[in-house]
Amino acid sequence: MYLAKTNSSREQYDLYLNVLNSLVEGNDSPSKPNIDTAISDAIKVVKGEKDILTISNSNYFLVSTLIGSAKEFLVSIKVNSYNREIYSGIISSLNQKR
Amino acid sequence: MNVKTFELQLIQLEEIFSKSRNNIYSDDRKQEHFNELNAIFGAISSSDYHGFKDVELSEHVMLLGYISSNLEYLDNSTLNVIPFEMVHCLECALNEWVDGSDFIVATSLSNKQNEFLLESRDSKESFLQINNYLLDRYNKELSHRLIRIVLPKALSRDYLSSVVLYHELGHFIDFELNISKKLFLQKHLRPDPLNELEYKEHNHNMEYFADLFAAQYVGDSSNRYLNHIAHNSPGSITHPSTQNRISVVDLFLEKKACKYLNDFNHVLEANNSPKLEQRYVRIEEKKIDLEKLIPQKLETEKELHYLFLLCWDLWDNSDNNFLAGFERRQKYKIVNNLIEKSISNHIIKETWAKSSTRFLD
Repeated sequence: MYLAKTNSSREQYDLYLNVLNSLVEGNDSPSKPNIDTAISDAIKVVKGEKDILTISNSNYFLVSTLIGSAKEFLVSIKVNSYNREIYSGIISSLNQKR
Repeated sequence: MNVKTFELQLIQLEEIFSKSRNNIYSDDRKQEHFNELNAIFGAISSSDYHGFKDVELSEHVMLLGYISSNLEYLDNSTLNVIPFEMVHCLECALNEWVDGSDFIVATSLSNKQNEFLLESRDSKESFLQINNYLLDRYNKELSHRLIRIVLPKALSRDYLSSVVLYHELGHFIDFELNISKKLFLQKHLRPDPLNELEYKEHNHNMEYFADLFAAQYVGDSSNRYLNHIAHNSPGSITHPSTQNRISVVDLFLEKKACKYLNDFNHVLEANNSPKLEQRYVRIEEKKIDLEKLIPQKLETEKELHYLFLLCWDLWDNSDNNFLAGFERRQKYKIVNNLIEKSISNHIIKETWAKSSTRFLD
C-alpha cells in the first residue's frame, strides 16, 4: 500500500495545536471559546467535579486528550480564565506525552 | 511538502471539480454542499499560497484532502447511483439519534464484494474545527456533514444484505456520541488504547454497539447475514467471534441481562441520548400484503424497519411459503422488488401527506 490511511485524530490534534500556538502568540481565534470550555471541563473531570461520561461531544477529543496528557498541569490550574501561560503550559504537557 | 506539490494537488482537485460539475443529485442539499465546497476551493485557489508558512501549507493540504473526499462521495451519490430507498430507511433511524438535517447520507460504491463500511472521518468536533478555520481564514463554512457509507456496487439494490448498513449506521452513532470512547476513557483515564489487549477491548465494544444498534431496527436479520458471510469466524483484534456477536444480540432481543447493553445504555443516559431498545413493530399476519405479491402497506417508521426482518423470514422460508413455486433467481428478484416498492410507496405517501398538510394550512 502506497499510503497509510489518514488519521483524522492526528489532523484534529495538529489543528488544535496550531490554534493553541496562535493563542500563545497573542492572536485571537474563533476556536478560543471552544478550547477554553474544553480546558474547564477537563479540569473539572480531573478534580472529580464532573462525570467523565457527561463530557460534551462538541469537544470530546480535546477534553479526553487533555485528561490523558496534561492531567498534572490541569490539576495545578487555579483560575477560571486562561491566558498565554496556561496555553503554553498545555502545549508543553501535550508535547511531553506525544 | 512545498508550494509546487500543493499546486499539483490544487490542479488535480480542479480536474475532479470539472468532472463533478454536471452531477445531478437526489436532493438539493447535496447540490448545496457541492456549491459550498466549490466556493471554498475557489477561495483557496486564489489565495496567496506562495507565501504560506509550513504550518499553513499542511493545514491547506488537509483541507484539500477533506474537499476531495467529500467530492468522491458526492460523485457516488447522484440520482441514478444512490440506493435511494435504503438511504431513506437509514435517515429515518438517524433522526431518532441526532438532528438529521445537519447531515447528508452519502454512499460510495465499492467493487469489492462484502465491503460494507463507514468512513468515520468527520466528528462533530472536527467539523466545528474545520468550519472555525474556514470562517476565520476565508469567511466561508459548510452547512452539512457527510455520513460516508461504502457498500458493494453489486449489492447496492440487494435489500437483504443491506441490513448490514444499519450496523454501519450504528458505528456512525457510536462515533458521533463517543459511546465506546467514553467507556474506554472512564476505565483507563486516557483516550487511546496502548496495547493489543486494549485495542481489542475497544474494537469489540464498537462492534457490539453497532450490532445492538442494528438489532433495534432489523432484529436478528443483520446477524443472519453475518452468520452467512462470517460463519464460525473466531474473534480477532478488530472483531469479536461471530458466535459472541450473535449471542449478545440474542440476549438483547430476548430481553435478557446483557453487560454490553447495560454499559452502552449507561453512557447514553449520561449523554441524554435515547437508549438502545427495540425500535421496530411487527406487522400483524393478517395485514401482510407481500404474500399477495403486492408491496407492503407500511403505517409507521417502526413498520418500515420491520420490513427487512419480515422479508428475511420470507426468504429463509421461501421453499415452503408463497415463493415456493418460483425459481430461486425469481424468488430473489421478487423479494428485493417487493422491499423496494414497499419503501418507495411509503416515501410517496409520506411526502404526499406532508405536502397536503402544507396545502391545507
